[in-house]
Order: sequence, then structure tokens, then C-alpha cells
Amino acid sequence: MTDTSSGADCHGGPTGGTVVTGAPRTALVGSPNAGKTSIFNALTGLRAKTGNYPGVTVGRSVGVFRAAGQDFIVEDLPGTYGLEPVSPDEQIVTDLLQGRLTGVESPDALVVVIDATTLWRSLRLVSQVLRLHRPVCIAVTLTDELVTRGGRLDIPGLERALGVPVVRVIGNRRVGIPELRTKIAGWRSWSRPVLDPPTDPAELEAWTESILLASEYRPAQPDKTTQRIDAVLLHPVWGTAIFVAVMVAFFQIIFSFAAPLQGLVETFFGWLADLVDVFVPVPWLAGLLGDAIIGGVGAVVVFIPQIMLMFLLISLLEGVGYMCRAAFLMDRIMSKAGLEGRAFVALMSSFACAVPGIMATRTLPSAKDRIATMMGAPLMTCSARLPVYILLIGMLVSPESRIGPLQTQGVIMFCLYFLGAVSAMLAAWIVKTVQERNGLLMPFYMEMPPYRVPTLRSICLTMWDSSRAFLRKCGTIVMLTTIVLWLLLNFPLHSTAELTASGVDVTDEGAVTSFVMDHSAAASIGRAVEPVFAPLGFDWRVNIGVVASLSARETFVATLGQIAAADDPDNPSAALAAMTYTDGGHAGERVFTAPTIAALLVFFVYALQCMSTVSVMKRETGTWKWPAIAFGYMFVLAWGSAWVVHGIVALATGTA
Amino acid sequence: MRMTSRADGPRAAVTLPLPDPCGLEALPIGVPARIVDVGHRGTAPYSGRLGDLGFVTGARIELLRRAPLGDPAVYRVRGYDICLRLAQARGIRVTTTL
Repeated sequence: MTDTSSGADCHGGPTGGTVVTGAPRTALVGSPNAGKTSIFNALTGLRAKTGNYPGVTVGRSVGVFRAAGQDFIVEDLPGTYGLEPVSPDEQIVTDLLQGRLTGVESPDALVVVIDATTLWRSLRLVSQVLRLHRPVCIAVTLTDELVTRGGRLDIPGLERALGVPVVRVIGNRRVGIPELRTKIAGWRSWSRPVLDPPTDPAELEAWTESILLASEYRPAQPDKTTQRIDAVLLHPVWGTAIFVAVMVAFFQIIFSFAAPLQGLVETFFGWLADLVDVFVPVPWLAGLLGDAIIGGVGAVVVFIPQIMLMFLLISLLEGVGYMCRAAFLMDRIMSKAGLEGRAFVALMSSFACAVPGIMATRTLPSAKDRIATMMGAPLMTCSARLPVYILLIGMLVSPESRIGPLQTQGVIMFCLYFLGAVSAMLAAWIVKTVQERNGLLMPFYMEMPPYRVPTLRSICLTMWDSSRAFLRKCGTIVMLTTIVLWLLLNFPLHSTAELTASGVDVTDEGAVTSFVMDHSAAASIGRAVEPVFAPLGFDWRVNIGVVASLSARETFVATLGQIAAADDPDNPSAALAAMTYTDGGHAGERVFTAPTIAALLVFFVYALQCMSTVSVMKRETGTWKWPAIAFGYMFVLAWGSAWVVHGIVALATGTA
Repeated sequence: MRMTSRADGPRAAVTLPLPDPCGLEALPIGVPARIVDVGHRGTAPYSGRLGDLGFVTGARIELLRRAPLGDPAVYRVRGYDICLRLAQARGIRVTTTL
């Protein structure tokens, strides 16, 4: 799979992306669409290590390759159009290049990646990098496209004019990669320009012209195919219609196509758990292995189909060039939330699940926008809320009830989706406004590259990278939470004698489960938090459901089902509706009154009851600060709104 | 300018009396222009960045299209296409006398 054509040994040396200290460091500098990342991937194969720069939400990729018996570290810097920073992301690049970034070694040599079709503009970045007085080499990409669009560029001429080595590279087709590796290996002997490029605007303009002249540069003609496609895709009417169609298809695919795959994953892990039940005779051990550990792994793996599908679609749309067109169409609407067009896709994906939605914020160039979108994304109605909504709405109104010609249940469902979406935009807007209260408003600019056919390799790489990152960084947290919750719900253990002594029929599985749960650590927690949730009308059993739903919302349905099943195993939903308070001042009264159900619904709209979301936020931002803020503000919002709604519905229905 | 924003013919709007120089946001679609100044109306703090993107004094520029809601718009400058919001375009002054 990885390239071996360079003759250099790709397989020896430290593998798995471990970064050796002391090895020469090369950084790739370039603008966002220049093809930096495909060069980085081609250079380092699948041995890249991704993470964050210390203390910031800016992603960092570092990889190693081996040439001439030595390791070379390559770092893919965030894309930038210039070295005079206008955003925190670009500040990182500037600081790193000037060796002012604490905790990060400054690079020994720099490779500037420039796109031959935008050479004129790109020379300005080259001039800024040359003034850093580091060893510099230029990698020119997209020369093939330049030629097909009627342009030309003489590479040796460019090399002579700039006074630094120039390599022609086509990252996706791996042209020039061995040469670039050899060049980097010999970084100490790179030629340096005699004079610095000028800083004065007029002189810089003259310098640029002279370089273009010396390299016999003829600019590419506008791409005819792109012009024809854009006439349709960016048309005020057709373009908007196609955009809506693309988004509906996108949503359908990650929502419905992933569902059967996720069903398969669930069935497989269910089957594994059954196997454990059959072969492990000790019930608590079987429970621990089957429900907690296998269930925990399953809870992680179940996200993989959705994440892979979403990244397949995103990298396709991005690779083809549609993503920036969609952002162009949506920018005005998203700007109302203080965001830009590209944030739309991330928020849209969150309708399926906030986990891929938060990972999709990687496509946003500004760190502030990424944070703001992440803070809003969990409020979009994800698929895990759906079973909870269906159960609760079913208990609240009958399917026959209508508002005009519309089914009330459907209207309530729509209102919940709408409430989520509006709240998400509002949350993003607030976070963005607070962050920008004393900063410069980021200018918005977005390159519109011609339509291109992405390589299968680059798409597969994106899918692989995102799934691997999710499994490695989030897997452990989700698994741990699942195990802890299982322990809370099932411990302390009860012997058969103890059960019989308490009057439980040990042959009745439902009764045993119910007894274990009633006397579990989770029940103690449910009772302990009763004062917190009492104003919302939740009793301790609902609290168990809320506590259990911390791992994932849909467990709320299962937990309540288990509790209710104990009373009437044949008809758990009827038992649930008829459930009454067991003790306290309300003893004997129904738990699921209209105000309580309404409060629960609103609570589920706002509360961040999803440890997968929390852990993916931690992974993407590199700190616990943002997930903590998100969890905190959403809990306060959930409790507050549920309390208000409980009060309003109680007044309206006359049930205090 | 709303009247001319839908004009598809390349020189359809040349006859319109435009202040010269005018803000880039007022440039009709398809009319070739030249940048005379960058960094007006609050864009001064990042006029350097606009320069990195190719918006430099003397550069040829053309408005290709506007988004359905009027903002942002795509421009061709230095042989490539880039999209700017009105707020940024207002900071760039252009002339249609080449």
C-alpha cells in the first residue's frame, strides 16, 4: 500500500508514527488548497501522528519517513495564505516558524507547497517564507492541470529565478515524491537566494513579475467545464434546488444507510453477549463480560458505519469541489449565527449524530468557528433522541389526536426538531459573540478551485484516519462509561437466598432485574439526586433512567422499559404510563403526568447526555475545558427549560 | 446595483454611470476592473491578507457572480477564483478605466 518506489527504506526504523527526537524536522507550508496534505500523506504513508498544538484547537499532523538510512520528521502546518496572522490558527504557523511556540520544536527546513495554477498569488507567500532565512525548497503542484488549461511553467527557470531548489510534485499520483524525499534528505546543501525579496508593495510586485517572466509563466485559462457546471450549481434557483437535494441525500445516507449497518453491528455484539451467557455459568461474570465489556465495545463500534459514511461523503464533496460551492450558497444564512457557510455541513450531520458532526467541524478553517459550531452541534436532534421522543410523545398524546389536519404527535416531533435547530444556531452565535468581544472580526474569504476528480486513495485515507482517530481517542472513554454504568446498575450483588428472603421469585427474571436495580448503586444515586429533579416531576426511577442515559440517550428507553417490565412484563408501556410514586408526599400519584412528560422531552432536547459527544469534543479541542462548558451550560439550560415547561403545562392542564 | 446583478451579458452594465473609482461591492458582473486601493472601511487591519490573496493595487479583477441572497460574491483575480463577503469587498476600491 505504501510507496516503496523511492528505494529508501519505508519499513525499517520507528513505526506507528512515533516521533524520534534529534531527527531533522521539515515543515510543509502552503495555502489551504495547494495540495499540502496529499504531499504529506504521500511522504509519510500511514505513519502520521495527529493531535493538537499545545493548548489550542488547531490540529497537528506529524509524520516520519526514512531516506538514506536516516529518519526525517515532516510536519503538515495548517494552511495559510500569508505569514502575517489574522486568526489564532495562523498565529500558530507564524509562531512555529519563528521558533516562538513553547513545547514545539521549530523546523530545520521548510518546504513551501504552491499550486502552479495560482502561482502569481502564491509567490507572495514564497517571498514571506524566504525572508525567514531558513533552508527553503519549493514543491510545485498541479502542473498537469496548468498545462491542460493552456498554461506553462519552466521549473528550472523558476529555480534559477528564486535561487532555491524547486521540485515538481503531484501528490495524489505520487509524481515527484521520491525526488522530494531525496531533496529533504539533503536539506543542508539547499541553495539560498543571494538577496531577500523586497517588502515594499511596488518592489514586491516588480519582483513577482520578474520571477514569472524568468520562469516563462503563462497563466492557466479559466476552466471551461468548471464554468459550465458553476452556471448550474451556483444558479440562484437551480443551484439552491440542487443544494437542498444534495443535503437531503447526504442526510438520508448517513441517517438511513448507516442504520442497517449499525443494526448489524448491534446484532453481532448481541450475539457475542448471548454466547457469553451460554458459556459463562456465573451470572455476574456473564453480565460483566456480556453487558458491560462487550456492550461497551459495541457502543463504540456502532458509531463506525456512520462516521465512515459521513467522511466518505464529506471527502467526496470536498475533493470534487462542491463543499465550497455549498458554503457559498449557505454563507449568508450561517452568517446570522456568526458562522460561515462551511459550518452548515457540520450542523446538518449532527441531525444524525453529534459525534460525526463535531468531527466534521475540521473542515472549518477558523478555530473560533470550530468551537462555536461544536458548542451548538449537540443541540441538533440526533437519532439517539428519536426513540426517547417516540416513547414520551406516545405517552403524552394519543395517535388519534389532531391539530387541524395534522397529527398532534407529528407536530410535537417537528417542534422538538425545530427547537433543537434554533437553539443550536443560537448557542453557536452566543459562543462566537463572547469569543469575539475583544478581538478582530475575522475576514471571510474562500477560494473556489475548479472541479476536480479526487483519487480513491485520498478518500479512503480520510475515512481510515477519522475512524482510527475515533476508535483510539474516544473508544476508551465510551467503554469506561458503559462499564461504570453497568456496575452502578447491577451492584451490590444479591445472593439467591437474599432474593428469596426479600420475597422475590428467583425464577422470574423481570422481578430479579427489578429488585437488583431497585437496590443498586444507581438507585441510591437516583434517590440522592431526587431533590434536584423533583421540581421537574421526576421520581427516583426516572432519575435512574436519566443517569443511565448519560452514556447514550437511547438507554433511557431500555432502562425505563426494564423498570416497568418488572410490574407488567407483558405490557411495559402500559405499566410505565400507570407507574405511581412509591414513597414520599406524592405516594400513589401517577409519575408520568403531562407536565412531567413535557419536562422530560424538553430536558432531552437540551441535556448533553452523551459521553461519546463529550469525548469527541475533548479529542477535537484537545482540552477538557470545552466539553465541561458544553455539559454545564446544557445541563443548566435543560433543567431550567424543563422546569419552565413543567410549570406551564401544569398550569394549562390544571395538574399541579 | 440590484438591477444589474442578474445581468448575464459580459458588458451589459457598462453604460451605467458608476462613480470612478468605486467600491468593489458596486462592480457589475462581468466588467473588467483594476484595483486602485485596498484597506478601506475597517479592512485596514487585514489589508495585508487581502494582498496575500491577490487583491493588490494594480491587479485586474472581475466579479463573476453573487450568491442567491446577494452576499458573498466570487471574483477572479490573479487568474483564480475567490469568494469575499460584502464587508471585505467594500474595503477595496476599483476603477473600470483600465
